[in-house]
Amino acid sequence: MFEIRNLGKIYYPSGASPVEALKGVSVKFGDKGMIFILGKSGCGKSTLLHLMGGLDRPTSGEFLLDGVSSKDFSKRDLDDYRNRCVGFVFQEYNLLPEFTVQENIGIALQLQGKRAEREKIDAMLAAVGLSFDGPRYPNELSGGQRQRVAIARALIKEPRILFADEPTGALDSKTGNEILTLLKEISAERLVVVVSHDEEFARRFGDRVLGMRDGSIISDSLDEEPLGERVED
Amino acid sequence: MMSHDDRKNDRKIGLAFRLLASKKRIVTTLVTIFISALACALFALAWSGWCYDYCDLATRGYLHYAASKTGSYAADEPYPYFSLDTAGEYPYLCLSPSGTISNSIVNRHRFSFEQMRAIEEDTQIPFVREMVNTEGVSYWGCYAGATLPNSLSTVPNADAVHDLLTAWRLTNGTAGSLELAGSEEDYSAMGFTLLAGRYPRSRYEVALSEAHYEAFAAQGYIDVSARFTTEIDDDFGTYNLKYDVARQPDVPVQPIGQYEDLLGKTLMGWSDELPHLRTFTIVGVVDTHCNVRRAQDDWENYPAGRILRAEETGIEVCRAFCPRLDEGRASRLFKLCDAYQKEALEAERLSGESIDYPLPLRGDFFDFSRPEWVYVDTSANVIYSCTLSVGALSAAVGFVALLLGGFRTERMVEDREKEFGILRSMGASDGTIFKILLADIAAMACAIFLVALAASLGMYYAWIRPWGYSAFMDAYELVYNGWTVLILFGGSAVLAMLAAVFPVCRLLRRSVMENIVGRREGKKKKKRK
Repeated sequence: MFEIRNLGKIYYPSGASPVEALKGVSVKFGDKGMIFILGKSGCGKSTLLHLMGGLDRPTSGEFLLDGVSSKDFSKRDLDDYRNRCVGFVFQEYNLLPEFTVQENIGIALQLQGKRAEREKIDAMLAAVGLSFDGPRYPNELSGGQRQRVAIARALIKEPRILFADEPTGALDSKTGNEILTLLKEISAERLVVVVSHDEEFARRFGDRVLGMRDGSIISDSLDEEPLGERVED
Repeated sequence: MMSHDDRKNDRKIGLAFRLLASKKRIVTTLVTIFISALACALFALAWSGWCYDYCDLATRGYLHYAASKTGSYAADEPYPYFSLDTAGEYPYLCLSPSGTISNSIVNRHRFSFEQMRAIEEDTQIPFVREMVNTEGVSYWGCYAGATLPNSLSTVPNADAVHDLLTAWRLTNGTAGSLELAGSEEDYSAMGFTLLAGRYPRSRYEVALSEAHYEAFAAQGYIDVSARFTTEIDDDFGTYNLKYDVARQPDVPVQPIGQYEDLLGKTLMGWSDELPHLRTFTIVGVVDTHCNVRRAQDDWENYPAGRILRAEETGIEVCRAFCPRLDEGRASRLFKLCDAYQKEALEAERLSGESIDYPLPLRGDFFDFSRPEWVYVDTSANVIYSCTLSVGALSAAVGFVALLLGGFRTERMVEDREKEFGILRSMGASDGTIFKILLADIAAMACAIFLVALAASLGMYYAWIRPWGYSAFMDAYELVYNGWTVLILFGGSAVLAMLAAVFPVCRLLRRSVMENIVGRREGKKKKKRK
């Protein structure tokens, strides 16, 4: 089970007043399902995702995975957490441009100390709906294909949780729909947390929707009328 | 949650160079490599001799040369002898052709009494001390004339003395025999044997070699101490004898027919103590196995023909003028002396050739008018100064290289910071990131090393080596050896690593999102009370 407790983040921009982007957020998550975090720009949803994904350091609070607190994490533990427990999908895909699609995915395996087997990579590409005859570079792909590659790169690590920060933000609605459909399929086996500002997508795909404003959770669909199938803790 | 075994699987990414290779910063990279290489080359050329043991370098170079020139001379001697001499503020390293190691003051190569004893025990070479005074000049026997001691001169009449004195002044003063100081055991160990009397025991006793005896036997003995006054030449610490016309002009000549005839007679000698000119009593005549003719031709340079002094004098002089020197170096120096002497003897024996002595001198590096001395240690001063200068220059260039390398690495890291952030978001540890950057550091170090190797070889063979030979008459061999290459290698690695330390640490201190986004999070300001 994944849980966040009083997670807070304050930014100290140079020459400006401190900004409290996250104000003591606490949420419990299940092992599976697709959770949407909704909110307008600047509400702190991406900050929350980054903290949960171990990409940034909280100013206060903690997250727990199976009861183990992030406060007890060493730097190496945090690296391992990002390596083996979570996968991250970014809005801008963040693929390595000098490497082929296959190599981008293979690097994820190498970071886990595994061999980048071609068969495994091809299978993962197929799982996300991609198939290439030969090596392809990210700049040769469409936005949707790049995002699928990014999802494949995150999934090949077999993470327990997949975090997606505005995965459809740079895509058209049709492609975005395809991506979210893919993520929905993935959420059948693992927890998928998606940050989005699109309420329609959240309503259509989310098992649970958290609303955020000004750094705090203002609504939780678990406490309201169920949206689709409710996911029990 | 995470096992420690799993962490061991964090391996290097084999595609590091593809990640880091960039056409950007090529010029900066090349300039960094060349300046770093220049710094390493200068540093290595300056200090490889010191790492090689400066003393051995200086000694080896000169001794190798000098030994090749004095082999025949040394072959005449029954014992090994090396003299490290100074003259005033211009120290020199002089290879004396006989064999027993003597000690005097060499600038920066000064031996304490205890060290000399240790060297004796270590090398098993008899050790007698060569006398020096505050001027750095060996105690001169009070002699006048080019070849004969004044006390040994035949002075039949005042006019001849006056003429002789005039001639002496024109030749700028006195000449005479240098001195050895040691104990009876020391002299015996050198193979000396008493012909008459005993070895000197106190400061104002001397023993003479058979070369001196032969001179007295040929021309008689004159006690000039009561008949002459002296004028002291402070520039050189020498003095001129001045015939005092007020004194009795006729100086009787005493015949010398046997060794014992010299015992109890006196020589005038120079001392640091006042009055500088004093008499020394002859207490013994010693068979030093010297070549009499050669000694008399060159009183100054022929140790076997020297005046023998008591050990206490040498001890006091050494205690006064000998700061401590690294014992290991001192020991190696004298072992080297012994080794070269033996090589020279063997080379001479094999070649059968006779090599002239003394050595020629190059005028740039000495202030003495006498051409016999080779001021190798003066050149050592020059080399020492050059070493410091070039070393300082290398440090300055190295500092610039460090700044440039740091700038280049900082920019390279900035160019790739997003990629490093992406890798970290995928789980790359700090160690993995460092290993990727290590590839760049290693590549830079290799490039710097190769360029520095070429540059140092070029500088050495095109400039330093020819300069060294022309400056020091082949007597100095400035090295290019394994130490040089080792310093180049180490310097290249150190420069490359140091240039990368700060940028890498800054990269890893930032959070993953800071790497990806490029946002720099400010520091929390402390609240003022």
